[in-house]
Amino acid sequence: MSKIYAILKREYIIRVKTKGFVIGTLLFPLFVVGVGFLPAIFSKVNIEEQKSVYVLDLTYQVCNPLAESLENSKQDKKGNNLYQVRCLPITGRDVETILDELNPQLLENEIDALIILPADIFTTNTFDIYSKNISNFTFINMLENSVTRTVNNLRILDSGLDPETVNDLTTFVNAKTYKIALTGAEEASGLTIFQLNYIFVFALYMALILYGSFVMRSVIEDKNSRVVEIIVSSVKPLHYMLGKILGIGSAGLTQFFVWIALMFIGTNYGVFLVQKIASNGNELSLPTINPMIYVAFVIFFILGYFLYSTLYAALGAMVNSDSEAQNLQWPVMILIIISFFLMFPVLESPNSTLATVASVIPFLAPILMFLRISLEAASTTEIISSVFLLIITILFLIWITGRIFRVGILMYGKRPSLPEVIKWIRYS
Amino acid sequence: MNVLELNRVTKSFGAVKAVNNINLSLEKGMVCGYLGPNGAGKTTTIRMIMGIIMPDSGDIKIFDQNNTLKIRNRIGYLPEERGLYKKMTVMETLLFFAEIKSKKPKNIRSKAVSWLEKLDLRDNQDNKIEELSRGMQQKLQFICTMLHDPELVILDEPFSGLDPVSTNAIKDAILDLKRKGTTIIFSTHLMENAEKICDTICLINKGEKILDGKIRDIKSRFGENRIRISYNGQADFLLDKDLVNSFDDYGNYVEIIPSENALTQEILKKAVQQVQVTHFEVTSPSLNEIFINMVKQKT
Repeated sequence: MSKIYAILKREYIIRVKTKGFVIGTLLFPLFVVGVGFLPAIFSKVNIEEQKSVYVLDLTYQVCNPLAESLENSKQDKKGNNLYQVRCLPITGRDVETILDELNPQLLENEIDALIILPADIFTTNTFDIYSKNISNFTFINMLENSVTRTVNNLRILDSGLDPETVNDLTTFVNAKTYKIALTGAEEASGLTIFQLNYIFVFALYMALILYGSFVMRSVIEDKNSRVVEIIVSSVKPLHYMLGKILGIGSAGLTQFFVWIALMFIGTNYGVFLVQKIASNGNELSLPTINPMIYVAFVIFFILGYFLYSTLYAALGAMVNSDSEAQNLQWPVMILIIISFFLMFPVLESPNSTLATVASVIPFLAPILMFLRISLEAASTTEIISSVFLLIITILFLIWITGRIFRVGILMYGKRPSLPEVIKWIRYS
Repeated sequence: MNVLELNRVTKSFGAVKAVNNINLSLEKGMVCGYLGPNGAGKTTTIRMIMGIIMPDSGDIKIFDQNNTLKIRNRIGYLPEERGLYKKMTVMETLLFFAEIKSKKPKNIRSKAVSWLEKLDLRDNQDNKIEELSRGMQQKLQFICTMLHDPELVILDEPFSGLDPVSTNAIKDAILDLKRKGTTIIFSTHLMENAEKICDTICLINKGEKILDGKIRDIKSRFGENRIRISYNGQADFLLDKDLVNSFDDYGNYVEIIPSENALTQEILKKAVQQVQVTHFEVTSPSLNEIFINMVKQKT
């Protein structure tokens, strides 16, 4: 046992000490934060800027009420209006001349948008916006909405009705989404739940492939540097394999614990930070993550990692170089990739027969059962049976790959054929 | 008690008998050269002793016990193909290899330092392996073999790829161990090395043992004397069949195998008459010759 520990310790320390590990451990949460928060931060921060809007009103009646509604719509922290609206005098000039005149200011962003309201806007229902940044959707949308509202109000007035009454009568009906959980219904947005699950499943998927192939490459490295001869003469090959798997897996777990800690801090305190940065942060909220999801993540990483890393260890023992391994590792990769792609149908209907069956199959379970748990779709029986099947499969795999490992690790030269591998399993 | 005993050990790879029916026994404190040309089966034998591969038949006893991992903790093994972890430091490497021999790192550290001093690696203690020269790596690997105080040391081609200075350092270390009573077996295809430090040898070729025993006994058994002579002039005496059985001209000197009953003095007298002798030496046959003769006889 102390020898397993010696191997484990070496693998762990050598990995944790690398720059790549330190950077990856700290950068991934930043990446998640970036994906999760930055668009929100940017979109909030951008609104702070004052915008000047010029209006060329060929109807001679829309601009004033439009200006009023725009200017009153939003203020910055100091109470200044965010939108400065100027109704341009026309005085007999044609639109082209005015456009040419304003062109330099538009290019310089001195004017953020020029709105031209045609005389026939009430019948054609179209108007023009000239701006350098037409890709700023929130801004353009906002202008569109304001013009629509103003034009509609004028039409309502025209028909002799009271705009306020009409607005009251035609209020938009909002839907609130509730996530049904065992602990009761929680208000949550469907989109963020999807994103969060996606990030977790993606992290699990990457971790299984990454750490699995670390095991494989580590075995190949030992083989190529011939260190393996000294080790195998001192340590049982099975113990050596287990030490390696445990050492590399511990490095993976270390990384996850750092990530989870950072995410925990991030989701609990990060929101306040964002609210401080953004003027209008109240709208921003992250769904709270059930701690059970973290637990499930760690458990299914451990199980999935054992499952796949034993396969990867056997692969590493069978080949002589990384490039040879590339050609041979697709059967293992495919199993992980299938479970990743099954994620989408499972997300859509986590209680379908497909989802239930797939999440109990050992090679698919690590990702799919975790996903169903995070969706709170899995029953306790299903969870227990999938964990049980995983453990049985892992034990069986360790037994079988241990035999392949024992022979393969000292084989150099030609890659073994499948019948040869079967022979190794039977006779070693 | 025999430290090592091989009893009718056989191993085949496919149709090739890599090791065939080898017997070998090694007493405590002996230095044994396991000799043979490349491909003779030396490394295969050693790998079987180290439990890396299993013999097809026959058995191996170490310290009179079965060959188990626990017993092998008492062996130091330097494999033929060297390798260390490139990213580890010298000290980490030493502690790791001692640990997989069931030694505690804290008990090993001071010993590691004194070994590093002995082989002139003390200043490199915190260097990574990849920063060391090839010769340094070989010396370090030698220390890895010794650090857990093995009672039996198995060295597979310990001198291959070493420069003369390092060769000497390793040779001294081996003789040092011998004085301390460590049993050593080392394989080499360079007979001169074996001749210098071995008590006993075992010669194998194509997987079969051709000859073994104490070097002194072997030499006296094959003890036809040789004469090495250097000279200037026309040496007609070499063709005299009464005196000279055969000779080999090596350029700098000629090696003579005297005829039966020919006296060394007679040869010297003839030589002095005919040529200007600059060197005259009576030697026993080298292991190299014995080996080549044995192989020739067998085929």
